[in-house]
Amino acid sequence: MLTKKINLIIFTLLCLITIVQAEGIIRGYVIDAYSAEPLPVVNILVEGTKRGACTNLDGYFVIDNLQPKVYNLIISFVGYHTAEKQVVVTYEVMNPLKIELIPSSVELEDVVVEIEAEEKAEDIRKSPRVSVVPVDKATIRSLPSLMAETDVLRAIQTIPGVKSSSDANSSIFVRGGSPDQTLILLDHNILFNPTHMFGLFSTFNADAVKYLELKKGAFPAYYGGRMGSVLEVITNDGNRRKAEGMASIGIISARASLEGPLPNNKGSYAIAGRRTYMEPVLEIMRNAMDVELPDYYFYDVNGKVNFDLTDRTTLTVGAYRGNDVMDMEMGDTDNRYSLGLQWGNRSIYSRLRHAMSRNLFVSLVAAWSRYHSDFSIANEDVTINDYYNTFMDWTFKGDVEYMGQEKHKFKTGFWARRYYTHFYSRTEDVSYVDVEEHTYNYSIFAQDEWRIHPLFEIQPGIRVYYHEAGQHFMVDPRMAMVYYFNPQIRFKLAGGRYSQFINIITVGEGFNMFDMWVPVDDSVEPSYADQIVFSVEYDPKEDLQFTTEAYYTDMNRITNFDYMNTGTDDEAKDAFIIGDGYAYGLEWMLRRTEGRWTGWLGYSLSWTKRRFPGSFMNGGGWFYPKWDRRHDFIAVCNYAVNKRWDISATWRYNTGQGFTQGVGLTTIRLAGIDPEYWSNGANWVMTGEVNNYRFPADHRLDITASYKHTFFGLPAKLNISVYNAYNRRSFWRRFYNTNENPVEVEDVKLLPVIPLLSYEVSF
Amino acid sequence: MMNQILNIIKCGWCRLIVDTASQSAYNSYNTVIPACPESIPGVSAAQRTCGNDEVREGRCHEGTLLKYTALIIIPFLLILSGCDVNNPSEVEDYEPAPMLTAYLYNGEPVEEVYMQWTAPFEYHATAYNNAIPYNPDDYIITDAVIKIFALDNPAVDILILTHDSEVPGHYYSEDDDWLPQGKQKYGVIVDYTGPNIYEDTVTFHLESTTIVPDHYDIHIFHPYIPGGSTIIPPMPDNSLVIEPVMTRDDSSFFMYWNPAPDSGHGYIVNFITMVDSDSLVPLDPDFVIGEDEIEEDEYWRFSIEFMPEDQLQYTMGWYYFNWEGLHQITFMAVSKEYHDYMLAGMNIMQGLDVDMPGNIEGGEGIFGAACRYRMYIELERVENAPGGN
Repeated sequence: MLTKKINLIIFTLLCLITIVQAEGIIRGYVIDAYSAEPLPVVNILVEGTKRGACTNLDGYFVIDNLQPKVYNLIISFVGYHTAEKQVVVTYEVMNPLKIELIPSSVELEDVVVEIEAEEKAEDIRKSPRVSVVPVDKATIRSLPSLMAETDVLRAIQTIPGVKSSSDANSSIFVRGGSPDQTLILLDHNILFNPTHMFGLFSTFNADAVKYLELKKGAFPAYYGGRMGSVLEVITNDGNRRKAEGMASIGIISARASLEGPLPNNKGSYAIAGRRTYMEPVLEIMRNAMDVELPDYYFYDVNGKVNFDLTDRTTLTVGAYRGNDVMDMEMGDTDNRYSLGLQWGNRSIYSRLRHAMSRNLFVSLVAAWSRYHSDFSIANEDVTINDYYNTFMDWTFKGDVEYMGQEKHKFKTGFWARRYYTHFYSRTEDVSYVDVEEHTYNYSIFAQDEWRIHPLFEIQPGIRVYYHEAGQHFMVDPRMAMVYYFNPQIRFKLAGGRYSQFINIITVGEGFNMFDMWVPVDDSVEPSYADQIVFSVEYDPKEDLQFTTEAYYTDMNRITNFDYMNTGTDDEAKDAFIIGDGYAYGLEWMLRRTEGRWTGWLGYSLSWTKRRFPGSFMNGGGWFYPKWDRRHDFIAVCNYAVNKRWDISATWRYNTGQGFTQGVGLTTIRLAGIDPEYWSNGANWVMTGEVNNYRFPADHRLDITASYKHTFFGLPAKLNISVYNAYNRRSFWRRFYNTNENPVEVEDVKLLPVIPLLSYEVSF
Repeated sequence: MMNQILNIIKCGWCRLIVDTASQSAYNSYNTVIPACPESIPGVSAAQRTCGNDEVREGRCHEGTLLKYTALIIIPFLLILSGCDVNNPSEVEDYEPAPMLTAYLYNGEPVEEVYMQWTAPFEYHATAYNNAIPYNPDDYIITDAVIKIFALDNPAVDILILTHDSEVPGHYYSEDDDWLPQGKQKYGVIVDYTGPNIYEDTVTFHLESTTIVPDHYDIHIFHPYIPGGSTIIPPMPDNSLVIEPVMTRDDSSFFMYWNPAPDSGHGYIVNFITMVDSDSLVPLDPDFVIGEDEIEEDEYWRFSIEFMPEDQLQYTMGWYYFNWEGLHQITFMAVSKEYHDYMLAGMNIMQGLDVDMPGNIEGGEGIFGAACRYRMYIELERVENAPGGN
């Protein structure tokens, strides 16, 4: 009986949808003409109507309520030649179009379409969404890199409002939030610790990345589970026309990728991997310098297969695996320590996309993601300690996108997640700590893009959560609105509540291998933030964008690892101190997207503070976290010198990092240990308020020059990079050497100038 | 902000190079060569190029070798010159604080009590002008009145400590029968009127409390112990002495314990080498006696093992032992105050932002307690042992 009722409701809804769609529509996919990969956030303008659309992350778009006649579409996207296409719209349901865009690296014979700025279709900027910064593959790969490793998170760090804790860490701190407050999605699947090499590099292989989008704040209800921001990374779908590959060697690693169509053109595949090969270098250094150095390597592999089940249904199956492995022997000959450390991510997911009707788009995702780390230290045959930590996330989510209304774009869906965490600490076979937990988190959301007036649009949304452990029920209302002052200028306002149900235990400044993720339970309440963002967007020219944004974030029930807890209690409250914080600031960004010169200038003026009342941190009072940087200026420039040479450079200036200054000196007397047994007389530096001083400002120039040529008939590229070109090392930490008297103050600086080469061959 | 601007200005050498090179690049960039055709059918304005050169105002501008050479040379000049700066140290006004360090041991006379002033860091750190070596004797407090009393037992006399004239800043109990008892809460009060480090007359009052941990049994296992295992007797009356001289090739000691209620909030083991620092001989067989030298910062003669309260067993690895000779090993169940003091101290040593530990109201320092068990072993290098190389 119930099933019949449901069928009746669905049938009625579909009829209504059909009735509503009495006029013609244009729908379809925009793809890369070379590889046939779907292209996200492409602008499609219906010439002469000021109607348009923007493709979603699957490259799909719908423009409805069009009178039957012949229309001319103008399709444009950064990094591609603008294209035109004539489309005949009738009352009949049309099959999805496939519009191909030619990469701008390919020269055209035809006249290039030029469109007036006022005619340009709505794009990602011309929607209520605020604080969204898209970065395409070409930009990521053109930016100067560290150790010749193009890095996605380091590319993100060049966006105003995004800060790093130091040059040595690729973690991102967005608008005053800590790294765990950013939801990182790799092909719709969550990744928990996206770094290699102790945070020096991110886990994303830039060769595998097609597109990424950072939502710095006030993101829509479609996203949930984190209180700060969202980084969405989409990997290559694979060339649907021909098989091709790329191999590259750099100073520390080799990379390779392969992609192509499936048999019978029923889909595509893409796989990319890389591995470092520093072991021989470390061995040489070990022998030459007679020092104990570890063996270390990391690798990662991305794979993805797209199956075109029907014209309207695609199934994607993908996987990621990355691992860091370090082994070290040290100590006296008769008293050796062996240290083993490995950590990494694994994930696997499948995603089904189906166009149910001409304007109803459905997506289902089933995914599993795991982060684990294992650290052991042994002395001869005695295991001194073995720390093991794993965190798993099972996600099943679905959403429905309805594009059938001229004034509405509706989206709804659900997320069901299971969290599992296991941590133990052992000596020999004895476990001192062994915590194993799991819980479920469910949420549903709905959002609408509603064009109330030709000049005014809103995007209301809501996400409702139920977290099983502790039976927490949270409601996150969201709202965004845009007012089109004129074709070049838009005012936007957005905000809402953003809840978070997992917290990270981290020792240090960003993601590191010892991180542990702990779900909320009945001993602590979920964290949440209230955000508001005001934005003014101005497009003075077709290829020039200027954005200014002001934001305020109120962070509640934020957590920090309780360093003073050594117990084995298995409740979340025992692992954390709980506090609050705030962040506010102004950001400006001027971006040029086309031409020989591209890039952006950005500046942010920001403040963030936090406190943990009643804790050991700063006496429970307010303090600036290390990533608080008052001024942050960034210039990113890519210059196509000619067909063969490209040059890119980034220059950054920011306020120095905070550090905790020594203010007093004393003699420490431990119970039963006279100061004479210390080598330094038990001198001890007493520190003041947390981060009460700042290092000098940092500024750094990175440059990369790329030379494109052929290598035995194959396209090849030589990259010459200079990291920290004028050798201005940034300050990282201050140490006090109490073995010296007077106490020696040592400021540790980070990376010096590093010139590097890498070489790529495509086939 | 002004400091940040000044820092950039200080980097003037770099700027000079940048400016010079930029001017060179600018001059070459404006070199004009004959125009290319105004338009090419089928080619947009954006595509209208003269080979590799850019079109401006209908004319092609040469991308000269000089321009690109300048772009390449700039980084190398900058590399050579560098642009590094040092961190100018600032300092805030620091008011020295009185610091009490006092430990009570279950069943032992009160002997470990010290009073001192903390010192301004700027006086004794190389980052500051006119820094001088730190001498703890310059900061001792000698005339404090220190009283210790049993909070839960008014029948116990208040203990007034005596200043040790031979060790300035050290206070002790002259009453050897006044012994702290397990599970008892004790308080301390310190009153002082006298000069501070600036010779100004000041008055302060400090107070604190702690609970003395109760006794418990530690079972220890090793082949050198008669019968293979024993229970370590409590201090101060007895200690366990392992007779045979040992090497790091010997098997490790294993122990477990059954904590009594109120027996503390964690366990700490002190390893002390009972050898003068100028007589130290490393156990490391790679150290060649008579040739190699011990580094100055390697003269540590103690190690500490820290264990949480729910750890009930322990394998004593040889990695705590670096020197030949007699070693004193003390197991302590410690009060919560001392446990937190040690834990915070270790966190601070790792560079974590943790407040300076302590439980002294009105000043700095620690008033803690422990219940102690002690053993002695003697170690020698492997090659010195019978059958050694």
